[in-house]
This record gives sequence, structure tokens and C-alpha cells, in this order.
Amino acid sequence: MPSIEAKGLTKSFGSSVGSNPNLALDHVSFRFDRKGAVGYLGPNGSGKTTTLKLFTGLLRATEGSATVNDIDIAVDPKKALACTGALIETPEPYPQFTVEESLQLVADYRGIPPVEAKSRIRTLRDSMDLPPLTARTGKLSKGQRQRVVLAGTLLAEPDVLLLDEPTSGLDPAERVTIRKILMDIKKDCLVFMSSHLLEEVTEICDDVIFLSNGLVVLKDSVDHLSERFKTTSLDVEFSTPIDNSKLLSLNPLTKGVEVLSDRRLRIMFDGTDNSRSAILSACQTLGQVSSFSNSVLTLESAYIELMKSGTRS
Amino acid sequence: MVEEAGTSSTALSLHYMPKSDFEQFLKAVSYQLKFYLRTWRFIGLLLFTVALTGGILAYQLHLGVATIQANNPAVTDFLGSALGNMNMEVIILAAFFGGDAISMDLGTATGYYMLTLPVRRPVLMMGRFTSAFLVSTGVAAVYFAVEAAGGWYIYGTLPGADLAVSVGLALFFLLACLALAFFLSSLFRSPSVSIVIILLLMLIGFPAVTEIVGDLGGYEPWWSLTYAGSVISTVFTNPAHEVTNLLGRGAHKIMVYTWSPYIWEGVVIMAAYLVVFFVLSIMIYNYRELKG
Repeated sequence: MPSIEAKGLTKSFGSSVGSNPNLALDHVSFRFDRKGAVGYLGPNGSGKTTTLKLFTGLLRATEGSATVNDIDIAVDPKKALACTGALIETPEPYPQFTVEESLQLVADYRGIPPVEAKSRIRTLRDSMDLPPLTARTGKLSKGQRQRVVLAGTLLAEPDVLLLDEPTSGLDPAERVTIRKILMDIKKDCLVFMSSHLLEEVTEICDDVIFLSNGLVVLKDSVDHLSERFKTTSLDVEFSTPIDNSKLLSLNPLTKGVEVLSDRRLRIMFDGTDNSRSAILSACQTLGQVSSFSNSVLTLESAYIELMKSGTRS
Repeated sequence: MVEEAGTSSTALSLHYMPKSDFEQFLKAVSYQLKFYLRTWRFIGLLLFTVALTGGILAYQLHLGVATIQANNPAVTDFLGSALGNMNMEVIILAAFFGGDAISMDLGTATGYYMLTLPVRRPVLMMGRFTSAFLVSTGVAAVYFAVEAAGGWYIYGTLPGADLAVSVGLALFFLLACLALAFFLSSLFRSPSVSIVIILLLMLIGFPAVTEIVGDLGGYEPWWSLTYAGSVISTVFTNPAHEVTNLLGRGAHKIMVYTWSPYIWEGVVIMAAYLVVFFVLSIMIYNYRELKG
């Protein structure tokens, strides 16, 4: 089974750990050892990329350890990286190389036999909608290059996939493509991904870690978080303008109604499923409902609350 | 769902095993060679070398074989003079092929592609060093070939042993220059800045200090790599180790020294540069972090 573990992982960019203002990561610990996806969330500068760099040996820990499949990256980086596919920051293959050569390079270093590599490269080209294999990587768009690099990380079927904001800077269509790929991949390996896109994390990840100022403030499953941070406001949109005088009929079910426009309402409620169903039924008596959704995502509620409090959980 | 577990260690389930360090070294050489051969710098340096050597030789032949032989009575004199610019050629090659070898990883996003692969950094660096040496040797060979062909055409003979020693010294000088270039490359994040710094240091800095300290100060510049590199051409002429001249008139006379290293001395200086800076480069490349 794939595994990833941080034990008291600390990174300081200054001289001493104690009262150092440059402490990027402060005794972060977690362990996951099953296939699936883990979202690593936090504001800019919270230490997400630093963590991923520590897991790939691009940075060295000031204290603690980072292990992949129980291999310490600081002790045996070659062996640890052999189990790991990583996409950190925005990697750029040699611009003079073609897509195929860039992927072949990865295959050669990872020890994939040439015939098998060629076959896998073609499979990935088709499944990931890669640019033509003969195209020079220096001529590709950012999204195309990102897909090529992601294909490179998948080439050797790694046990652990470390992704640093994998859809950052991509257009919506490219994001959808990569999300689908990740949904598929997580069935066979452990995906550990940082992201700013909470919607993406909700869709892909099974577990999440919230990081703030280098500290883990929450570590939980997405399902459990949905229970814990119930959404208490709904956005309702009608196909046609509604009569405001009829809104009074919603009062017994809600904690307040905000009129956003002649067709849109934001309704505050107690967050229970029963109330939600009742409100939907009541809204349908007001007019044809074209959309009915939480006004904020569950993870977003959790994120905002945790970042405000900044406390550990 | 991913579950946290405090269970015992998991088994390593690798689908593919990375190749041995030696096999990866060979791959690093071949990929880096492919990279160099596709860059404009390779084409540019090849054209520069052909233009420099071919142009000067063509001009000399235009003046006439008799004129050349009058200025250089023996083929060794001719080669000693013709290969006088070999130092500069080697320095330029080392700067362009070694100057960004490390900074390209530490200062550009290529590092995020290469350094997350299961290959030891020293292996990667040695592969790059070897390919930089091979591609530079290819270009330098053009220089030697043109000058040797000129010598053969003009004098009908070549000093085989001296020429072989000169080629060997040039290659050793190239190794030392590459080691220094790799070291300087490891200190900078910008590949172009590191190339420029190396060129400035080795084409202007070293010679300037060597002249001030050696020619005017009277101290042998044994610490200078460019001084050591002069053995590439002096092997043909065997000049005196130290020559002094009193220049000027009246009370304004100054003593000017001209130093020429012994062959063994040049080799020792080059070896020292090669070992020290190669080891330092590997250490820095191995330990430096990608913080950007």
C-alpha cells in the first residue's frame, strides 16, 4: 500500500528554529497509507509547497522527517523518488525536446523498458489529450506543458503522487480534464495535492489537511467536515421574477431572507436536511426554481472558519 | 477514502526500478548532448570557430606562403602562434557549455522537472560535465584541425608529438575550465548571468590580474588558470620560464616580466583547478535547495 508520512516536519529558512520568523513549517505530522486523495489546503505562504518540496528532497528539513512508502527522502532520495511522481511549481522540460523525448527521458531515468515506455506514452497521449508527441515543449502553452509534466509523473505508475496546485493557471476545460484524470488515478495510488480551489478538493479528495502559518490546524475527512461545517445559507434562483410580498410564506422555515435581485434570493436556515427540503418545496410554490444550491461550499465554510480562528484541531 | 493509520510500515510496491547510477550517468550524457546539439550556442560557437580559424588562415594564405614562412621559420613557430588563441576558445566553450549546467536547475523551472526524478544529483552533474566536455571537444577539434591542416599545407610537415601534447593539454585545460564554470554556475540562479560572469572573469579578470601581478609585480602567477593554459601553445616554442625587460627611458625605466609556465607546472595548476572546483560543484549541486 502506498504511504506518506510527515513526522514533526519543520522547515526554517533562517538560522534557528526557536523564535525564528522564517519558520515555514512547524512540526507538521500526518500519515496516510491507503489509496485515495488528500487535499492540502491553506492560504499563500502557509507552507504547502514547502511541504511538497521536503517530500521530494528539493528542500531539506530543519527537523523531522518526510517519508514515502516508509523511505526517508533524506536518507535514500533515489529510492523514495522512485515511488513518487511529483508536480511542483511549474516544471519545464528542456524546451528543445519534443513531448515524446521529454517523456522518454522520464521513462529512462525511472527504468521503464523502452518498448513499454513507448506504449505507455501513447496510452497517456490518448487518455490525457496530450499535444502532438513531435511538438517541442518550449512551444507549448502552459496548460499543454502541465499535462505533459503530469503525464511524466504518471508514466511509472507511482505509488504516491505529489501535486502542487495541479490545475493552477489552466483554463476551465483543461481543469476539467485534469480533474477527471485525478479522479481516475486516485483509485490506484495515493494522491497528495495542494490546491486553492476548494471545489476541486471537494470533488477529488477524500481527506483534507488545513495548514496555517506552517501549522496543521485541521486534519479530517471531507465527509466528516461536511457534517461539522454545515452550510446554513442557500442561494435560490427563479426562472421568472417573483413577487416579494409572497416571501413572507418562507419566514417559518428560515432565519432570514435576503433579496439579491428580482429572481435571486439568499436564504439563511438551520442547516438541517429537513429544513432544506422544506425550503425547496416552499420556493417551488413561489415560482419555477432554476437553481438551488449552498451559497458557500462546505470546505469553504470550514476554511474560512479555521483561518479566522487559526487554532489547531 | 484515505484513512490515517498508525499501522506498521507498508511494503514497497514499485512497478519499475530505476537504473543503476552508471546507466543513469550514460543517459544523462546522451540527453545533455542532445540538448547542447540543439541549442543556438552550439551552432554559433561552431560558426565562430570556423570563422576565427578559417578566416585568419585564409588571410595569411592571401599574404602568401613565403610571408608566413618568413614570420614563422618552422612549423612549430606557426602552430605556436596559431594556437595562441586556443586558450580563449576553450574558455568561451567552457563558459557556454558549462556556465548554465547547474544554474539551469537551481534557477529555472527545469529543476522541478529533473530533480524530482529518481536519479542522484552527482550522477546528473557528472553526466552533464561529460557531455559539456564532449561537445566542447568537438568544437575545439575543428580549431585544431584547421590550424593543423594549415601547418601541413604551408610547411608540408607537422610536429606530431608536440601537436599531440598540445591537444592533450588543451583537453585538460578544457576540463579545468569546465570545473570552474560548473562551480560558478552553482553560485548563480540565472543561467545567462552565470555565463557572462564566467566570460568576464576568465577573459578579463584572470588575464588582467595575471599581468599586473606577474608582468609588473614580478611574481609568477602560478595561481592563474589562464596562465596555466598558455602551455597549449608554448609547448611548440619552449620559451624561457622567466624573461625580464627594462622598458622606458631615463629615470622612468620599469622592469617588465614575462612568465611562461613549465609544462608540468601548467598541468599541476590545471589539475588543482579541476579537482577543487569539480568537487565543490558536486557538493553544492548535491546540497543546494530549490527555494524559489
